[in-house]
Amino acid sequence: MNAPPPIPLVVVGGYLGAGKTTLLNQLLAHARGRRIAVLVNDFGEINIDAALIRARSDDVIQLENGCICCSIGGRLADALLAIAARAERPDLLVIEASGVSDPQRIAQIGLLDPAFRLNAVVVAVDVAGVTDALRDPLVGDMVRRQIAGASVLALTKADLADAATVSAVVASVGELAPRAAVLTARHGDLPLSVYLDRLDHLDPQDAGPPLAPTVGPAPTGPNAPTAPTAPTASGVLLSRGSRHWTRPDALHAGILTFSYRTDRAFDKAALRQALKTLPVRLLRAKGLVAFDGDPRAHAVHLVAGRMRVEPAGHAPQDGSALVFIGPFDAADKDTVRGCLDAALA
Amino acid sequence: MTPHETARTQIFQTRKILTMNPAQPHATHVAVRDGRIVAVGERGDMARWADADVDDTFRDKVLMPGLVEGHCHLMEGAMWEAVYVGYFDRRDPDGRLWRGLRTLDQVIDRLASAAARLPDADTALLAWGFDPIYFGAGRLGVQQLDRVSATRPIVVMHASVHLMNVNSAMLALAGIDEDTDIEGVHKDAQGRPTGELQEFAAMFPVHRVIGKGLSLAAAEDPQAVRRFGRVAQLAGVTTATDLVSDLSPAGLDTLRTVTADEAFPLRIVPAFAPQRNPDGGAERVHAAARTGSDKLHFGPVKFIVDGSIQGFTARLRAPGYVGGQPNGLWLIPPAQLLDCFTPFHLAGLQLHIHTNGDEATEVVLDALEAMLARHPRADHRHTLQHCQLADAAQLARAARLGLCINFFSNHLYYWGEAHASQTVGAQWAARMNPARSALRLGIPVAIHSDAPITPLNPLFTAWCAVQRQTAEGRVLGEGERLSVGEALHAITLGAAHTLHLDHVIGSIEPGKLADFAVLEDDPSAVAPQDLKDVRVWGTVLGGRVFPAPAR
Repeated sequence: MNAPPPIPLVVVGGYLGAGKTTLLNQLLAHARGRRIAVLVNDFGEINIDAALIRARSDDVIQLENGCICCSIGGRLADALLAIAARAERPDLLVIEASGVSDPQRIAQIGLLDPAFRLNAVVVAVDVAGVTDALRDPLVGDMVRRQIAGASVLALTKADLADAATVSAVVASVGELAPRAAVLTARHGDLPLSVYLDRLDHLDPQDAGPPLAPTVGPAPTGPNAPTAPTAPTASGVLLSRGSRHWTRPDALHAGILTFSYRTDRAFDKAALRQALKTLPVRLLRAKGLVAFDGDPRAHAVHLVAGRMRVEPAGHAPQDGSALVFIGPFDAADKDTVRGCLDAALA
Repeated sequence: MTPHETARTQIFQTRKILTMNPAQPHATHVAVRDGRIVAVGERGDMARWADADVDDTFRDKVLMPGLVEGHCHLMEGAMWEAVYVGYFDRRDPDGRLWRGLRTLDQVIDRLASAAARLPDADTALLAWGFDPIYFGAGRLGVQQLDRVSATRPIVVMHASVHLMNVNSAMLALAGIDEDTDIEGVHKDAQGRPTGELQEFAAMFPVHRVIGKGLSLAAAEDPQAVRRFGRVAQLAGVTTATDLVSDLSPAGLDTLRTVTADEAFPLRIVPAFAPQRNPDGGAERVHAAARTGSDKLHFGPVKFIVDGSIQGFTARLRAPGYVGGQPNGLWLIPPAQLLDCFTPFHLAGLQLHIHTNGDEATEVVLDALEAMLARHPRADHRHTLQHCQLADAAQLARAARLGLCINFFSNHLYYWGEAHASQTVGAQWAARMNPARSALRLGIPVAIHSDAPITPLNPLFTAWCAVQRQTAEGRVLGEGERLSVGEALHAITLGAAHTLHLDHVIGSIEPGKLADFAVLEDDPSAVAPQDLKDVRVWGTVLGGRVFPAPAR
């Protein structure tokens, strides 16, 4: 049986007013023919959100706030089943989580269900408001949980804050999510690679991971919050990037893709441990790998510190290849390679 | 609905009638015409109705006002599609008593016999009501469930409905194995899934297999609504809520059709939950109300602010959960409560607000105080639902704001031990569901089951509020005990008041609907500890007699 390829899934979360809707609208504004389905799962602000988003897309499904009394059988589950059953699946499914829900909890269906593949847990962080939100006795713990579960922290309204504020926010949220990519989202603008792999939108026929290194734009700066000036454009934090979305290469400004290849097999447990604790900030990783003592190839997918491993159904292959996508610099690449070398059988 | 139209007046002659009307607390005869009560009194008081038919079916029965369950869900009717495997006895819609299962072997046996009744080898076996806290270290794991079948998918929902146990066939269908790296998949020391699942993502593949079974969408299923009506009838209930409703067109059609049937024994009060359906707002409730009847009443609006105490998702103030668990979840951001509530308040509707933890209660009191200061409204009857951990200061604020409280008194029995030892500790457990303090402050009080979370049985709930006794027999907060009279008031007029229906139901008085609970025993005469054992013969709804099914 030939199951259709999974639908790339991104969950966008963040506290009230953090800029979730702006992120979504910016994505939809630059969708350029890609079919993006959006599930809006907010409450209170909902009518505003849904209307704003609906102006950009005709594929918006509005949901009730997730009721924990019906974590099974709620409308979100029904909507997901309906989308998975569509004859023509969307190129991307984006779920906007409610301002007080933990987006990674929803996102994890993309690490289990065969119909979905998680690409990112994007948490919007309002530079001006997050410090107060984190200190709030009522919602601070929830905001912390949201940030800690992110694979991408999208800093919004950074252009309205001074450099010292931005640095302080980057330091505090970066510490809460030590492996998340920290990006600025000027007017909600994020590199498309946050949402989609190159292959998802450049060459949808080829669903396998690229086994040759992909040349991305050069890394454009350290991802540590050390620069003295506030960012003026979207992209990797404090990068020099200008407008994105203009041509395919530029869609990935600030994000680097590199691959790791070996003709050896990995120790499964060691690889799991290595990937889940990579000491770098990354968007995601994927690959086809061989495990010691197992004749089958396995597909590996890593997002937000969690890993999906499944037999690939391909013929056994020689060796292993993994692709890493993130705001890397040269040192990060060496670090990753070192960790993987240590996990070889 | 059409009330049970009787051209003639009918007089029910009884052993005793507890009217809940303080001006005339007791009677023996009640005259009914066109579905309403026309006279209450002794034989001599019936002289004016000389040509009435006298029905002495109840000559040795005791009548109370039809009981009112102010917080339950139609989902109770859906659950009975699955096999019950709870620790406590529970009566099904046909009146059959399902014995509580005290050992895991008993659970396995019941599952096996249910499996044997399924039509084919692939049909999933669904069960509900399981509660692992009563089995110590024993687990209903994959190995145990595979004894029932390792090939047929098996899903056992826990009593909390937030967790489930599944067998190896279900794990395989869900794609869950030792490599699965998501929250909510419980694993043993060797890293193998034990079959216990929780959280949305882990349970989603199960939802894919079992579909809408066991879901809150029960209003759309006529069979589930009918079963719900029978469960209520067996407990002497004549009015019950569906306290989370999306008021969907399909659900409303079903409710209208089922309740219009004269043989359906229940008045239903669906509460619109904007969190279930963001469309329509207050106008949706008004539109539904225009098509309502005296068996289908609209007006309450439900909001859920936090989670559950036993699931550690209720929002608590310091010192919080005794095990140091992180604080619970908000389902509505506190900053948005005022904006959520106000449009419904301004539309004249009544708010029913789920606040389990005391921090949730606090932010709701803040929001209601601000709302009522800006937009005062006489007799609004906004009601705190559950309100389990409110302290004295919060009760005083609730009283000052004119709120009603519907307490979850059944928790004292079903989870009282767990609360004392695992969730909030002995001191807070003792103050849970402080109904006596609330009454002392003049707060209108109701008590509830939240069925299907606990069994729909107001006389049992009244017993819980009177005895405040856990399943192990420990008494929690003796000072918060209600008297039997207060508890009986809470399950009749008290609950009717919280639904804004006390002018038509809740007591036996001329002019009110002829809704009665027909009892074998006199609840005001039995010892308080025996209140739960009062036997229900059946009900009368709008003058029509509904005997409970044979047991």
